[in-house]
Amino acid sequence: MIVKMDINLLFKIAAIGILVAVLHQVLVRAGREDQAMMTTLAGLVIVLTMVIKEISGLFDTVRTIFNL
Amino acid sequence: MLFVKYFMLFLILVASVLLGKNIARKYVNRLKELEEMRTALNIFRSKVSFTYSPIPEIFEEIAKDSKGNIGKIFSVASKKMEKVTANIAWSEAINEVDSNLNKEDKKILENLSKLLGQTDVEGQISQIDITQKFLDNQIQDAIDEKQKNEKLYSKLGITIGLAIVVVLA
Repeated sequence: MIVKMDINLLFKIAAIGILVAVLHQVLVRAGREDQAMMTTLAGLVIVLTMVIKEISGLFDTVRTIFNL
Repeated sequence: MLFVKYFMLFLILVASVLLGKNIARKYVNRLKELEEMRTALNIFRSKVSFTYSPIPEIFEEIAKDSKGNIGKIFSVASKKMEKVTANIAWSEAINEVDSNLNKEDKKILENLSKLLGQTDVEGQISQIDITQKFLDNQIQDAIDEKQKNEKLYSKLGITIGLAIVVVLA
């Protein structure tokens, strides 16, 4: 069974990655390292909430394959 | 339906970009107003020492010469002087007019009012000189802050707007 993943999700994550990288650079240049760190963390959390469905799908697939 | 969605996203982007620009402009405006205030005080100083005309008249003339919020401060102060004393009028005018100056700037300018219209010409001129010296420090401070924050906030507005749009799209 082939589960087709939405390709848009990948693009979205890529876009968020680029934007977070830019934000990080801008904030570091302005001498706000801790806030740059926070934005990076926030980006990570946002992306994780977006892919959590896919991860749970992966676990489900593994479970069904091995009959657990 | 799709059109409405994209339209809303576009609006969010525009709003956040404008917000960033607005915050960035505050730093530019503060510097401009401080410099304007400095030149206004210069005019005030020379008028006090050479013309001996009463303070409300001088303020009225300065208000005509300088534009923006600083001109407004002077005209409000000169109008208030019809009813209250000069120092009260000046400090009230500073706090009432909605300018981009921060609390520290306002405090320094308020200190000017302590001797305003109470001492002789010499005393007033020295008070104006001291205020100008403090203002110079504030201007330097404003230049530093502007360099640090102006670009930051306009870029921040754009990138955060794009991020929101990407997450919601």
